[in-house]
Amino acid sequence: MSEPAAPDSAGASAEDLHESERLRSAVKTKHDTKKKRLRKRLQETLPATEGDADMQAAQARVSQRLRLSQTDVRDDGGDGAGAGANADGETVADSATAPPTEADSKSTKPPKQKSKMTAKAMRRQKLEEEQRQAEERRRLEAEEAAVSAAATVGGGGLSREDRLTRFDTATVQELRQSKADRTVKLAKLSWDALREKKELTEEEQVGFFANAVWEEDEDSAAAAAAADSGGTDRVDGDTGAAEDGDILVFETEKVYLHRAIVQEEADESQLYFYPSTDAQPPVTLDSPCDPAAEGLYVGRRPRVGEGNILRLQNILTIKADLYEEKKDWIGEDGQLRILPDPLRDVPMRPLIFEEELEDPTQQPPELQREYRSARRWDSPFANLERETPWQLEVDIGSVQFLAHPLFTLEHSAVSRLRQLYAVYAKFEKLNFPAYFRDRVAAIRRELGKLDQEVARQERSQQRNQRVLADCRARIDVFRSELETTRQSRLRAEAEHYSRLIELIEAWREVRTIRQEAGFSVTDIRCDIEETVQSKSQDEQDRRAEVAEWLEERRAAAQTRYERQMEAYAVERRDFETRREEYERVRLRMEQSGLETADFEEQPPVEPQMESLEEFGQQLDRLVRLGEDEHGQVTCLRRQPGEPLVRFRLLENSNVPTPLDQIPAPHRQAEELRRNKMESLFTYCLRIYADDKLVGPTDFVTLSSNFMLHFNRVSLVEVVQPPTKIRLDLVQCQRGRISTQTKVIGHVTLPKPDSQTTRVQVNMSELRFTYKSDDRATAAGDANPAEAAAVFEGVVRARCGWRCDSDGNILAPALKVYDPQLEMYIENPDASRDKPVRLTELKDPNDPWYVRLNYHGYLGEDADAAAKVDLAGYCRFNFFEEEFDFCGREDLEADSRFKAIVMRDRAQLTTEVTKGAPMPPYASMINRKWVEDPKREPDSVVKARVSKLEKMRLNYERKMAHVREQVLDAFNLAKNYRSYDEVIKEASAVFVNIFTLIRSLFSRKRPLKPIREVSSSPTPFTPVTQLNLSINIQNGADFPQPNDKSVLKPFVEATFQGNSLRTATARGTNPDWSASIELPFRPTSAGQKPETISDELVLTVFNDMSYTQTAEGGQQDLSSVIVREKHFLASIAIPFSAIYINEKVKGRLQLRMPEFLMGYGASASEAASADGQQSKKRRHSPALKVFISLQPHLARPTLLQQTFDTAHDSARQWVHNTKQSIAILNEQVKKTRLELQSDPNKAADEFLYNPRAFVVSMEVKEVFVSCYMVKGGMPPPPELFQRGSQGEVTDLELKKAIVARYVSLVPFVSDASAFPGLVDIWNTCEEFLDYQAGDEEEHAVLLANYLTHLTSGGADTQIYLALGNAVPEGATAYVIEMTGNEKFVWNASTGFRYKAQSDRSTLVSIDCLINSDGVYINRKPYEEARALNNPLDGKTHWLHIPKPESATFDCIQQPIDYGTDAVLASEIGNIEYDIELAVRKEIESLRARVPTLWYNGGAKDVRELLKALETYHYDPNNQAIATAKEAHNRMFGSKVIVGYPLQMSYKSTKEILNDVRNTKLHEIGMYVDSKNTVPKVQFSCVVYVHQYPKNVLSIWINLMALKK
Amino acid sequence: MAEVHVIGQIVGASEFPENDLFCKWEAHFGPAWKRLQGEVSGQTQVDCPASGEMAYFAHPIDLHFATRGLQGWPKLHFEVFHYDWAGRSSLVGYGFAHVPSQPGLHKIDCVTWRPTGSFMDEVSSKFVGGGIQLKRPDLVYELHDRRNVHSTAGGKVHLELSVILRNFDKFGVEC
Repeated sequence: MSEPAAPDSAGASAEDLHESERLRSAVKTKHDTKKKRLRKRLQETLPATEGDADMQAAQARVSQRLRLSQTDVRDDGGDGAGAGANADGETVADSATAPPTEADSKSTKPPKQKSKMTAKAMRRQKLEEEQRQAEERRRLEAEEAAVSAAATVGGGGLSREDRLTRFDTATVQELRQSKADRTVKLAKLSWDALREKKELTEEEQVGFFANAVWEEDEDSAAAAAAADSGGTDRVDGDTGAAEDGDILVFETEKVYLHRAIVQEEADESQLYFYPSTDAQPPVTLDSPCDPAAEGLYVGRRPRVGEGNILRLQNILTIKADLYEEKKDWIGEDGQLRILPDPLRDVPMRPLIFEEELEDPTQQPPELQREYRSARRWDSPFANLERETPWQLEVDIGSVQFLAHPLFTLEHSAVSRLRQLYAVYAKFEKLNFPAYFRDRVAAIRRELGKLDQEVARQERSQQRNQRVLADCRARIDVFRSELETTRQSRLRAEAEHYSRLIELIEAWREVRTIRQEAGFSVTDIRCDIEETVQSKSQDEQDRRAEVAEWLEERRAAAQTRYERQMEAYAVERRDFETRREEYERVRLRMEQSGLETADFEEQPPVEPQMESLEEFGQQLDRLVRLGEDEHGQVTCLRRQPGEPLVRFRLLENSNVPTPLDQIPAPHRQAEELRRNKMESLFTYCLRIYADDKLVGPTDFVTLSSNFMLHFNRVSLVEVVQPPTKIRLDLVQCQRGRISTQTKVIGHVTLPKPDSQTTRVQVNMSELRFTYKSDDRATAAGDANPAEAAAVFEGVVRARCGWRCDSDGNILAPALKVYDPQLEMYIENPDASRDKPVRLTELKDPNDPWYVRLNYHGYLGEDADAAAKVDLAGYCRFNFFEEEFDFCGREDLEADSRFKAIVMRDRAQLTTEVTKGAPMPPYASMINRKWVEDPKREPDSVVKARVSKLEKMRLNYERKMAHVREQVLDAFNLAKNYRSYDEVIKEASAVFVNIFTLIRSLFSRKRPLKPIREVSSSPTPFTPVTQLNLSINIQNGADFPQPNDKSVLKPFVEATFQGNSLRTATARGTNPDWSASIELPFRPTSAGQKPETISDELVLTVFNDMSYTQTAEGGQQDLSSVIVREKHFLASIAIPFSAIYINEKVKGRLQLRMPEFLMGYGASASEAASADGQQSKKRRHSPALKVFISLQPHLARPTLLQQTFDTAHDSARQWVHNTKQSIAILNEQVKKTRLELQSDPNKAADEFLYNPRAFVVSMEVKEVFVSCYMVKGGMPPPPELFQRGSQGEVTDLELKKAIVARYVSLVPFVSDASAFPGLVDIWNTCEEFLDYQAGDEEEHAVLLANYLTHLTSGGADTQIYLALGNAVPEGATAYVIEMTGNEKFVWNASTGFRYKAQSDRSTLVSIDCLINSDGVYINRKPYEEARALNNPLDGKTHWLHIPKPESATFDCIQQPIDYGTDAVLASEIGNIEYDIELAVRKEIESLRARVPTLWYNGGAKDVRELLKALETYHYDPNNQAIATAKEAHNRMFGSKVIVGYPLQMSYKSTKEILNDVRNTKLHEIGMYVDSKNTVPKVQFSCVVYVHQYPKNVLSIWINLMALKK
Repeated sequence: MAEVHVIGQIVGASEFPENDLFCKWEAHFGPAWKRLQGEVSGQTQVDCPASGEMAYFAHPIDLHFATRGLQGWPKLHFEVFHYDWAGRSSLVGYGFAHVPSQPGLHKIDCVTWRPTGSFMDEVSSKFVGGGIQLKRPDLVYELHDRRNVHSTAGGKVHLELSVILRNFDKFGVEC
């Protein structure tokens, strides 16, 4: 194609020139320099062949061109430099896209300089206003240009362009002829080429788009034009241009393509998609490749400079071969794929929008700043972050009644109509039929596109199998979707139709009622609009629908068939080869004379194309008649020819018939009804937030169409976000005398989200129904018809948080209750409710974010999902794992690291490591260091004693639940404030002048003792250094050693592992007068003192220090004093008792083992000799102490909380009773103050808290007498069985047995759970079922048992006593009164004291309770003496008798003792486990020296323990004596210490604690160098005795024996 | 299973508008890291230098990490506060510094910045103290898009850290 058209083009017509010139003038490009360079090279390479003629011709041409360009400029009218200037319409556009087929564009190629100059002129032209000036200047420039052009020609020979234009002077005819020829020829050529390449390869597409001319700015347009001109030259020019290199060749290609396309523009507009040059292409349904229109989210592309895009595209196209693999550089929309988020390979919602970033309040939370005023860290207001409470807005719109007693027949019909219409209108609004119609159309369109795509793919040579397969898969999916959509459409249309029919029926009913009555009471009108439809058209549509459907089905079947055929072909081929193989083998075998058989395998079945006949018929029936395959009409649609109906309900259209127009028979009734409606009832809505009334609305009367218009937003200020908002609709009926109100319905508003404001919520329509029940009727309602009324209606309301003026939502962050921390914490899941931001880098593997995950979202079918490896795709940090040195497990399992961490946490002490430094390698770590050995025994026990543990767990769970309930109630009650709490009234200051004067005149006695009131308590802060101040005064009744030596007791106080001891005193009634200060600190900073559950343990030991002569026997030289402690008795005081009571003062009864070997034998012998002494032996040793906290801490704020009472029907009585108790309390307080201020009386401080009501497990207040059963509860009869010795009959012994039984139920305190006085009282049944409870449960059970036992005897009365005891503080005891004898039972220990003996631990009595009522002590300061006062209910006691009412029935349930007995084998396991644990514990405590165990005599010991347990009530029992004798014989000679510990069933940890406190392990710790083994052996025997209801008594006999 | 010891001190802070300063610090590290010993956060004492421009803290840092990867190398995050004459404190700088990955003694100057608020905020902080603080200080050391935060330069926090590495060579990391 070397210069074929060059001669022809020389005579380009003026018009052509004109256009071409305009094109040239547009040239101003960034490619300029390149072109220039190229051109220069060309000029150099081309020899100067032309002569003068050429020169002249050139000159002429130039002058002509200049002229043309001027006119052109004039025509353009300063349209500017826009190359593709659109002002001139199509022609300009055509020329701008530079059709190279037009001869002139090539032939009249101007020299470079000229084109440049005209361009310059253009620009100037644009700049200058006056045409004329421009012309003049242009002329000047033109002359210059001519000169320069001539110079060029003259100097370096003609440029190539010039050479081509040498035929400028050819005749016009010639030119025309040649042009026509050339056009045809070129068109043919290029279109052939295009047809050849109709399927553009990817690379071509790249080129196509990358070098597109549709750039709006002049730069790119000019570039395109320049490229065009340059390229065309090369292609159509001589082959010598090839040396210009790859770039030129490439440009050629580009231009070629471009040219071809432009030529057949008319056709192409249907073939190809032209992306718009606009920044945001308008989305039309015609544009085939708009991902957004296809429902794909394309995101917001980052802004990239146009130039950069072009550059990138250029690179991609130049190195197309390099990037061949990357086919998907260009997206479907023809633009480079640029993703909004470089982290994802698909765009995903949601994004942060620009405006959001600009608005500071909309900024992401991590960027938000706030002003914080400077404040002191120690300021008391530092924690008051928030001043305003949360605000909730409840928006109440209206109430529409759907049923009302005043409804007439018409009203109910209208109500029904209205409801139907609401549904219809909603449906109409959604317009599902249209939606499905559109959807069907859209899917069909997409299918068509996909089909084309597949066809194209199949035709193209370099087809991509993956793309093809993908397309096919998509077609399948689309087809199935189309089918379901069509079905849905049918159904939706049928539904619409049936609704319409229903609606019209309802309207007819209304109309009939109105006609029959002759008047109307409602103002509803109906507007039915019919649009006539052509029947034939409808029929045609239906047919078309069926046909389309069938066609799709067929296509699907066809595809399926083809696929099956393919598979079949493969199978068939396989089969053939197998048969051939077989035949060949058979032939060989036959030849060798072997027996053969035929090939038996059946050929594969050839698939058949499925028949569509039946389906067609079915479809036809379905579409036309709405019949399903069973012939049932299920989706009847509008029939062809039926008019289209639209239904509208008009309210308030016409006022209901006025009264005077109503026909006479009805008039009166109607008038009455209307009057009633207007005047009889008023309504209001009460708003409850969590059952708390927060505001009623105004009273509203009914409107004529039974609506209540409230239209009011109520503001609710809350501290705690309510769990629900309830609206109660209240009807007030104005009677003649009083107003009658009743709640006729309530709805619950959905709980507002923590971040939802009111405006964000739509009005929700909530239905309520109310039927007045029978009770109201029975109560004698005035109008029985109204009493049985039915109310039904819809409340329109919404609720959301309020926004303040800054747009902050006044809502709390979501908080959840954490039972472990016992406080509300911010919900860790709260972030899930917030919109997810991709920038937050959430874990994409989290299923919560699956909707953000493109693949996960689309991967509904399993195959597609399987293809995408999601797991590998979704990662926080790519290649993190690949770069890891080792796995996470390795790091966790590394024993060295573990040891270092343990050492850091002080779990690995130097004792364990024996002082060795940390080894440098993990292999050198001793395994034992990093294992946790202490857990083991406990876990064993736990696994074995599953049943008992389960009981305990049950109890704890139940208590946790109760605790939550209590806290809920408490939180709720925080909103209520009593008058006293809000206003503090200080009494007027009264200056007693007389005291002042008296002090002036009184005698000065500087040494007069003054009672100092204790200093004001300091508030507790975690940093406070606290001291437990223990003042031990004296002790009494310690056992006497058998060897007549002097007892040398001392007391050791242990708290939180710290121990201090007193000096050693002497004698069985020692006097220490020692003061011990035990410092301690709460374990964690946030711990409150009431939650400290540790116990202070006071243990009395006998100091058995002796001097050991060491090595050689020189006593004075190298002797060692060995200190050994021999356990005598101990007591544990919970910290809470000290803290809540502020002090523990008085005589503590110590717990001593049943017998101590080597001690008290004389006493015991004396007892056996003299029966009178037996009581004395039962005196356990006592310790007089005073324990307090230093500094003096304030008591915890008590939860003085009133709970809902259980006695609903007697609220008034409950209230009155409480009042009287409160009055009494005040009086007593006053008296006490008086007593205290009197130094002579020096009365003790005591807690006085008389109670008649206690809190039950249901968190309700119960009258305390209800816990006492009249006549008592029978104890289990098995208790009194004594095997061969028969039954115990003595009443006193029975009492002792019962008390023992009750005391064995494990003691679990709930005091620390509820600081203060909230104590949950379980019933006896619950108590025994859960096997846990504290003082009051024990006391109630014991009192009930004792009542039963003594019910026969007339003069014995049993009372439950609430009062103060040492050391428990406020507690519950049982008091037994037999005539003048008064005993006090401590139910938790089973001890009985004489009420007024100094041993009694009960120091004051608040009230006495029996099943008949409560006696409240008016004189608690009389201590136990108060019991001597007659129970008369006057001066000394306030008697509150139990009312005779069903609500005050006893709440105790009979106890079933028979069930759930723990098996004997399990008891054995418990014994074994405890023994094992105790032995291990002792061994571990004596890790320094070896521990030897003596296992002999276990049977005897067990025998003894059993006897002790069985006959605990009678120490002189023969069985005990025998067992003891055997025991003594066995061990008596060699025992150092020996004692049995008896306890109720506790956790192993507590048992071990008790064992540790005996300090048995410290015996025989001294080992000198000669004897490496101490001369001590240990013995440990455990015996568990089982009582009914799984109450266990655990005995541990510990002994240290001489070896 | 390489190990890193970071031993050193926060020497002090200088070039802040005020000299009575204290500093809160915290160490952050990736999930692949495990702290074996040492405190990862703390607060220095208040230093009110009688003379000179620099507040000295001499606050010790002693950390021992084990790691299974290089990602999430520890960094230290500082919040410098000014302690004014009324005993109140207000923020004067946020900053963070990576723990050097080369063993040896390093002297690090951690530059700081503080967010600026509106004009009114600045005025009020000028006269009544206090100032703009980040609601979520993790912005300081996390890769958030923080181009919208306006800030002012603060002074420097001076650190001296000795870094001891162990076993990195076993995994092909030269140091």
